[in-house]
Amino acid sequence: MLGREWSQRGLNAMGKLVAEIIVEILQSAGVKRCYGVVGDTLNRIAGSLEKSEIEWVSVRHEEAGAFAAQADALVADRLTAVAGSCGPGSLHFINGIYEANRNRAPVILIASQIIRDELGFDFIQEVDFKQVYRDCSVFCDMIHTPEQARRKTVMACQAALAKRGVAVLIVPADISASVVDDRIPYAVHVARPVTRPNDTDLAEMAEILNKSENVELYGGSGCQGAHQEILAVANKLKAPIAHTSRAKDFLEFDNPYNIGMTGMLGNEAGYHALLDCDALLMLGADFAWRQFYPDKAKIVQVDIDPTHLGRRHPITKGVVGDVKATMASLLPLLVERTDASFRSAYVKRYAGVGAGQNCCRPQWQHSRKLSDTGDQQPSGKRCPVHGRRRYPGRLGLSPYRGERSAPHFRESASWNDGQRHAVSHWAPEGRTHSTGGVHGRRRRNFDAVWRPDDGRRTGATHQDCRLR
Amino acid sequence: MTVVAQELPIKIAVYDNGKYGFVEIEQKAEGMLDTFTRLKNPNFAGVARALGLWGETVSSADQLDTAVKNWLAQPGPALRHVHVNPMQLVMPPFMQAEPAIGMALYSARAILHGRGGDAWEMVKENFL
Repeated sequence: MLGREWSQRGLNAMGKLVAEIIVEILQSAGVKRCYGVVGDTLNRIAGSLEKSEIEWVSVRHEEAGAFAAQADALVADRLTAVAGSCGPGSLHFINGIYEANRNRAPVILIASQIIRDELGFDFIQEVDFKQVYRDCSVFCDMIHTPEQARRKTVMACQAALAKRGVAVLIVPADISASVVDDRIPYAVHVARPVTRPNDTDLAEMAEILNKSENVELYGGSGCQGAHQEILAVANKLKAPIAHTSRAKDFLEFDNPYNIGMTGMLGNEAGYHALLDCDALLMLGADFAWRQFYPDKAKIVQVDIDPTHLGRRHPITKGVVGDVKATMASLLPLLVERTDASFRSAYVKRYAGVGAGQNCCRPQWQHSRKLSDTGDQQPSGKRCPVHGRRRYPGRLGLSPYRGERSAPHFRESASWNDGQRHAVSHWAPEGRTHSTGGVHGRRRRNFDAVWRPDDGRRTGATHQDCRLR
Repeated sequence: MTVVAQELPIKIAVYDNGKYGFVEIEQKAEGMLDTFTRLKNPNFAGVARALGLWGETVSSADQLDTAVKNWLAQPGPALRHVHVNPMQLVMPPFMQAEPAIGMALYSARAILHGRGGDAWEMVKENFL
């Protein structure tokens, strides 16, 4: 109600309420929703939002609002707003803001602030948002005068969209309640250039990939919208495609070469394919856990952010570009292959991961009560898919060729401390080895039980490795 | 609360194992006894109903199929509270020596601390 009165007064004075200017610019930058909790210093802006096309989504805690805005921004691919009151109100967004900024989600936080006259005197609920949000934003600044409101809001929106991250705009309550002359037409300009590596870089990439025997594709969130181009490259290179959790939506569907994820939440097909390939083509992927990257393979990385190149694991060649445009430019330089044995071995192995849930390891997938229902009992026969121990370590061998490739195999150990522990699992040919306390008895070597090339599955079933 | 306020017909499943299960595995993998991981959970279905969602608890496996169908058939936002086995392990795509040794260490410590029943329950639930 107050907001309406003010805006009315503003119009009468041939000027505009700053709160209205801010909302108008948000709308022009494509904002459709604003998440938050209303209150005191935010009330003017809330009043202007209510009159606008922007939908207000009331949440019970700002943190949830920031996570929701991030999801909204990424799913709809547009700038999304969050807004909060001064002090604890706008402070509560912080965890969601950190994640949104890390995930390159275009989000703008309107952090309303106590009036300028009281800033710097430890006023009730005074928080220096610039200090707080500097580390998790691509733009973080306060509107210092009513006159700079339009220009600064424009810069904030533009930064969030162009730099892909969070813009934090700090708005003191007296500024949003001010009326200013608003005639200079600063406006948001959003460019969407197509970026691809230069021809020399492309040729180098192609040469590495063409010269490598078994190529594996590993896609991250940068693969959005590039499904067709990635599959065309995978088809030509006869490469399986693994993905990060964030790329699930972009790569899993309609993809006969999909082998799921690696990492702690991944599956054994994705995990081993990444470690066993000769060349890894990383596409918009910034997977953080270094121990899941191959040490021996050549790694070619494509990313839109040059600072991401080689920051997780040393790489052979890094290029900057959109995945879609880069794959389209790379495709004609690649040599078509005929041998798809590497890919089919891992695709088959991935299919087995799902099948295994119903054949040879019911008690691993379900509670005892579930397995007692009868339909998921072990058949007593050797599992056609697994036919071997459950979690084979990486024994430095190439399962698709049935030969050992690296006798010095180093496994990363421990759960998520990010450290390598150089635990040797290797045992000389023909000997069994033990990995300790879980299964409680010695097991056979991996290569004795996995030979996808001739379709044989020999060796221990899970029954054999149970603790008795 | 927001789901109800926004009238979103979202279906929510709460897997309730009564503890911070993954943290417990992390601790066991380091050979520790589980520390500060037990949770005294509320009846989440009751909480859901108080908030204005449909809510129901299921605790036995033979009722699960019907329970899930019933839950998904609800027209509005609905929460299915599922009691799951607290000793079920979450497994990475491979097994390494250190966590395995850690687990063995945990088992030994559990038995020495008079909690042999826990270790046996874990073994029974996951390996037998």
